[in-house]
Amino acid sequence: MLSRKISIPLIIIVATVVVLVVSINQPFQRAEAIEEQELAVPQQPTQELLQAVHEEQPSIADTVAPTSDPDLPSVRVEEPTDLVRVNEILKEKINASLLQPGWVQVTKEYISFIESEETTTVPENGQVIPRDYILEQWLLVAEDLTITVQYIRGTSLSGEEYTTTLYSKDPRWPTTETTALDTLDLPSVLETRALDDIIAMGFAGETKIEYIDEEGARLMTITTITQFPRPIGFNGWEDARVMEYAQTYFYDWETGLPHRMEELITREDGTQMLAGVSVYAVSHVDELPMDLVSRLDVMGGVR
Amino acid sequence: MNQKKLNLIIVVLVMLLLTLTHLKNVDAYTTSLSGSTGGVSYTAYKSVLILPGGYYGQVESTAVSSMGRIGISYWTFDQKCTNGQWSFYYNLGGTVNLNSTYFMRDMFYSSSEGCYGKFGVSTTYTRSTGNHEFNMGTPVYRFLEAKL
Repeated sequence: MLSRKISIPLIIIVATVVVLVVSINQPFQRAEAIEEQELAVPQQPTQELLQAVHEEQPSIADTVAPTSDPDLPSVRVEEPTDLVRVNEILKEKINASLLQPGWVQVTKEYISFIESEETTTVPENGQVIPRDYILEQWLLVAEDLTITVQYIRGTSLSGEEYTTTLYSKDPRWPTTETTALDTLDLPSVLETRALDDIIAMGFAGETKIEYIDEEGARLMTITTITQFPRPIGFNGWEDARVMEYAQTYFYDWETGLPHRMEELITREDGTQMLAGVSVYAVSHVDELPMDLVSRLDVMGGVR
Repeated sequence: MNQKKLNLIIVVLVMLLLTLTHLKNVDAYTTSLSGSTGGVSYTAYKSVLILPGGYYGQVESTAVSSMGRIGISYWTFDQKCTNGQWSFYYNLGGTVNLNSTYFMRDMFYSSSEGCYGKFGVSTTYTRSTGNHEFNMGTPVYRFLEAKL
């Protein structure tokens, strides 16, 4: 009886220790961004850091939208800090903003600030991969609200085309390969795929979600942090000696559309640098540019 | 139900709860092979991890005692997309440590460099591949690949 009384708490303790050790030894830890990231900022007064660390987060459903006129009625807006809920709302907002028959144009411009080569050449086929790029997508939403055409074109910042892909079920530009369209939706093109991945991998509870006002817009930010157990190369930069990588998506919380994405790295000596930025532009298009129609005519050649 | 069974159920439930609250589902592929040369045993490792923010590749060579040269004759960490193009391609040529038991290199590519980020299409594979070098006077090259 005595041994049983001792052994059960012992088993619980051992189980707890084992699970915690496994957790600590995971390849790369994702951490709550607040303490880790802000404490790593050099030369910032400790008191300010502590205030920042302990700053209260907005509550889930009680946040009142800011208004400059106290006489106007304020609107209660849902501003959740749970990634699963945020992801659901984003998808609803994106569809509400964009999902109607017609063309949608999505452009992403990515610029890197690290010390790496501007291009990489693949020895297997001579393909040249630019470091900085503009990725343009044209999506045709049909009357039944499915996407029937996805045209993708990537160019370097100087305009050289590095990729072009067409998936089309449209009889004007049919392609043999259309399976990519079967699961395609507007939210996934607008980066909610990244959020789906974070949730699927079990990191939803370790992302930091905030709401900020910027140039008259209410933005929602989602930050994930990857910490490395030792200094590591980054995006082909061998001497980067990166200890931590933070990725923050900025969404317009009114429309649900992506605004930008920022990549911040912390190096071994504690310095931080902006490693890269993506800026998004999303719009409905009434009429396709003629050069695009010509390209679709050439590529959609299966009739 | 007697007290013993009840205690057992409680322990199992606690363990299950602790496990679930720490569960992570990161895609990972790690592979290794072992051998010996000049009487020294060695092991070669390669790994690939897919994380929410990007992709991690690693190459590692270890020996139980010091080798004249230990390292790689080449290492490639790359990602190929369903459109047949590569989204990133990192290639490191022959690099070794002299009179050492250990060699390691690793690299992280952010999702901006991946197939979805740069090409708008899905991924065929993410791969860490290449030859390890173990040298106690005569070089031994061992090929190893980790692929997701």
